[in-house]
Amino acid sequence: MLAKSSSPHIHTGLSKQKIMYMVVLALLPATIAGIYFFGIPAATIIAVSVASALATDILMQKLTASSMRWLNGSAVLTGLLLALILPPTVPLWIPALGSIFAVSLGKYAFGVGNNIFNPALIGRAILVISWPQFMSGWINPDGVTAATPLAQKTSLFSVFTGNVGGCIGETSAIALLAGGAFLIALRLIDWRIPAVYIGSLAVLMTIAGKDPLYQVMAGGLLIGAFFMATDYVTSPLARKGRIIFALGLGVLTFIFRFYSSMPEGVMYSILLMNATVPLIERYTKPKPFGK
Amino acid sequence: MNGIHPAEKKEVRSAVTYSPSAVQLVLSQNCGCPPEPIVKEGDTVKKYQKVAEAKGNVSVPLHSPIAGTVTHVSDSIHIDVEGTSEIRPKRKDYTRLNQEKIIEVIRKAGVVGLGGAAFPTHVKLQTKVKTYILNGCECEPHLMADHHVMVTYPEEVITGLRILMKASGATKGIIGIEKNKPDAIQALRKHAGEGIEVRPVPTRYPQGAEKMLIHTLTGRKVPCGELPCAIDIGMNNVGTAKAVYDAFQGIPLTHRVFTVSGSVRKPVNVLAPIGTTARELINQADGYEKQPAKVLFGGPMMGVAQDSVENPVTKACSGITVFSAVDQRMAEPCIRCGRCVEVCPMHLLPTTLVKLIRNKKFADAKETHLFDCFECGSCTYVCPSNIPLVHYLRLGKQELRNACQK
Repeated sequence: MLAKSSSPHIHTGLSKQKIMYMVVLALLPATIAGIYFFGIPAATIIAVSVASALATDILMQKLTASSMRWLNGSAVLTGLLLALILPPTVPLWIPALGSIFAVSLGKYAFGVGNNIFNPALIGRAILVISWPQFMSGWINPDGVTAATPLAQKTSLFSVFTGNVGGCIGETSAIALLAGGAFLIALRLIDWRIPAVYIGSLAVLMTIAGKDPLYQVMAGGLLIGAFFMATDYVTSPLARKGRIIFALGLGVLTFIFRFYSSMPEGVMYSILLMNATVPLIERYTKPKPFGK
Repeated sequence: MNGIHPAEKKEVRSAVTYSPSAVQLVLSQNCGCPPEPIVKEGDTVKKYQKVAEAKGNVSVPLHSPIAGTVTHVSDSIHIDVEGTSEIRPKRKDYTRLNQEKIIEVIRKAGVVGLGGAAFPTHVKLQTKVKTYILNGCECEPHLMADHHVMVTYPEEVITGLRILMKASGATKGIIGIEKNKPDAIQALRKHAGEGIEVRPVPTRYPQGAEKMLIHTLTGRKVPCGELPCAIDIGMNNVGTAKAVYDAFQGIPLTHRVFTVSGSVRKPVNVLAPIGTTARELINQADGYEKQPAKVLFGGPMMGVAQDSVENPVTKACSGITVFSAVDQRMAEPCIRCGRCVEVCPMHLLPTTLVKLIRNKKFADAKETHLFDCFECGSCTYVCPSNIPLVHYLRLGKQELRNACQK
């Protein structure tokens, strides 16, 4: 029997799962750096977060009668990403709950592929609003309670290597840049988003008289720019839209950082710009060839 | 140019000529009105004899590639080989004929585009243009029929182009050939001459698509919904140019080159008559490597999967591609990765179009430029969720066409 299916009859072989696991791989340097600087507590937070994400994902697949995938790369990624943007001092029920919210409310509530907001950030936002007392337990890598690099200036070298306080995965600029470069080289993310986001923030900070390099490497900017703003579902489809999206991110993050003392500027910027994506797409439709 | 870079798989290293013992000439094998049979069962026909007469302007006659007896006439004419009588080809000198007469010779020879669309060439030539382009790209993986024609009959291709230029009024001729065919570029350059330029173009898919090639060669864009003649450009496949040359040697379009490749033992170019079955052509490639799972008329990107290898080839078929395995992966929900948007050569939004079509919003799909899609398959090739995008796009177009006809 000969198969009669529609053209084309060949494929690159790239699958969704492969992409998800490549992004997890790209986060490995930051994960290792986080465990190196913050020790076993960081490792357990990551493990609990990923496990909870996988369990929630399996439950959601059953509830939505989808074909079962036990080790869904997308769930592993959400769990890992959430853990990396949590302080290393959180009690373990925080990442567990956060992953449940991220996977169920952040992803499946909208239907797979239709979520408006970045799932890991939704999880984090719910945690920050509900249990703020647990969500700002910043410590230095040597275990001493300390402020984050944005609140209290340290050296450029410290934010570059990650020897500072902050969330588990956001502190080491070099680890995140390595991961980001990997993703761009393999064309797994559109380089325009991190380039325009980071670039516009750096330019605005320079104009405002702040050190652009320090601003870029401190806080959640790098992990946000490379791993969350570039999330496929929640960013615009086409080139022009992505550039405007990234510009909006740069401007918002600048405003939050420059005018307010609240942390999480990157998180709110991304969530707000996520909401504008349908609007951006409506006004930046590519012109067909020959129009 | 947006596009993709699939593995070229240009595996053919030899060419053979094949003469079957019977042919099945499908009447509806090109664009326009199918011709009407003028023979009946039991009739004896000579090689090159006309067996079906064109009906209307957008139609071409059909000729028999073999001498023999007509055994069946319905929606195809079946002829069994018998004897060797042949209508003697009568040469014509195109330099002494005016445009109308040249076009009439081409029409009478049953020439249609051999690049895949099979549009009657004489109709194309009725619109006068300034530049004539020959498409020697052959960007589909596996296919090497055009390559064979360019390397084996370069003089004939050039003469064919000159005939097309005279008939259409074009003063400038360009032949676009992908860089992966240096021997073809060299062969055609040797015979090119005054007014004709051979231009290598980058090797990528779909470089050989009409609008894409025009843009690469001239920098100009064919307006949406229009034909190249709207910007004074005419285009034909190199194989068609050779068929035009043959027409002026008195030989109608009855044979062409077919590339048989893929999961066959010896990929080969076969010069064979229209109407040969796929099975016979595959035999020329020493048969299957393994049990075949899919047999295509055409290349892997735009070829049509066949239900049987007894199907006969037509003027529109450039080759046969055999697959021994079929992709079994299920489609998953779209994740808006945007890869389809990045690769679409027409700068469309395949994922958005498919979502509209799946939700039966056909009018919206039409508004979103559904009909600018020429089904190249680049979007489906890259989709990580394995969504059959081209399938849905075709569905949408069919629904809109049906609604139009009501």
